[in-house]
Amino acid sequence: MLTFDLPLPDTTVGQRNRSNVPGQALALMNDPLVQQLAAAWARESLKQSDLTDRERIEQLFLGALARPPKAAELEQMLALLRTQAAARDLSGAAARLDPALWADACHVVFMMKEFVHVP
Amino acid sequence: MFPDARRPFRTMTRRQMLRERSLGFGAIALTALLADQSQGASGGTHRHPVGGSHHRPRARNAIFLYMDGGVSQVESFDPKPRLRRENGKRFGLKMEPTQFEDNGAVLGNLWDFKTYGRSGLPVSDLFPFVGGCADDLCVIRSMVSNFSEHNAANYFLHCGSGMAGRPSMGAWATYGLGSENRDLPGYVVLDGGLIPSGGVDCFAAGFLPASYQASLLRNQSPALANVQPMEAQARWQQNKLAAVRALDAGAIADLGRPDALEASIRNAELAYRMQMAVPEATDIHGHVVNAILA
Repeated sequence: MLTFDLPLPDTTVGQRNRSNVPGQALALMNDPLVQQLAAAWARESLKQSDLTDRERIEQLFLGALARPPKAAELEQMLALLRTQAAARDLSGAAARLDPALWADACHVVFMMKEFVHVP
Repeated sequence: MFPDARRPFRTMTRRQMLRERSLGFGAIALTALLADQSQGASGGTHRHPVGGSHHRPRARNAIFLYMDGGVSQVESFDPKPRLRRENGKRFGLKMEPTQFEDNGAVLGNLWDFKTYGRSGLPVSDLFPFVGGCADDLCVIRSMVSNFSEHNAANYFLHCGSGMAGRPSMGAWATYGLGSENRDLPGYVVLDGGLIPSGGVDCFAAGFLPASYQASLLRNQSPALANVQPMEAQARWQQNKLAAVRALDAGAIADLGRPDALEASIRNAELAYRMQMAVPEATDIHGHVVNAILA
């Protein structure tokens, strides 16, 4: 959390630093905690196993960004699912509910600058 | 917690409330937040110095060695003959108060000095080989500090003020001159195992755009936290990052404040290149071997 300007507990801070450095991008890309949270979020979402891909993407956006995805964003997320499924050698029904695939989708939402910067 | 995507969304979201209530007070706060982050973002981070330079910079890099618990200046590069003349006597000059106030008699320098090179640079007998490089050195003996304690002195050395909060020298240099390096941050701190008293505020950006603070490289592998991709296959990461890029491009257009997000996006792209560049740059052993073999 130090990467994201959490002050040390033994000091007071009038105004927190608002840094914007590559280390933060690296944390969102590669930190194990972020991976775990993305995977957990995906597992939670997949409990509703009867959603279509579009509905699931909408649910993720509503949960993370408090808004539904725009049409273009929906297409971009669906494209991600297609290319990633191919890269992971998944197809058909297995892909629709694959936890690793949806963990990837959740991870992408975490890395959106809107998620990081817009309250 | 997870809204049912099939039901209409009825309640007002927090974001809508901030945007619309209290005359859009939340939107003002958001604008201020993004403006703060955008300060140096448009052309001001990393590669392009803000406003350019008033002369052509010649230095290619600056390496500052902060050597904690440093050797006494009177036993290295700053001879004080009076110390030997008054050896054993009470100290005759005014002394600033210090934390322990444990001051004794005068101690003369224990090692002799010799002069070296065409400049006649005085160097202690402790460093005869350094003396041999005298004409390549510029020694500044006139530095003084008004601070007798570690934290304030370190802030003063690194940032020019005894109180934390001002930009550090590295931040100023990177802000003013930019960096040619596309794959690594322009301002790095090599953590030899001890952060100076005063902490990482010694390397802060202060009121300069936040992207000018130092990136800390640790004395371990990997030198930077999270620089190793977590995905088993590079393609998996690349697909994800491509998706993020596409989504962010849309956000830039919509939110109407491109600079802050552009800075964030540039950092993400730099972060991607650092995954390869940092391990390569910090492979000291490999560099030494290559230098020996060359």
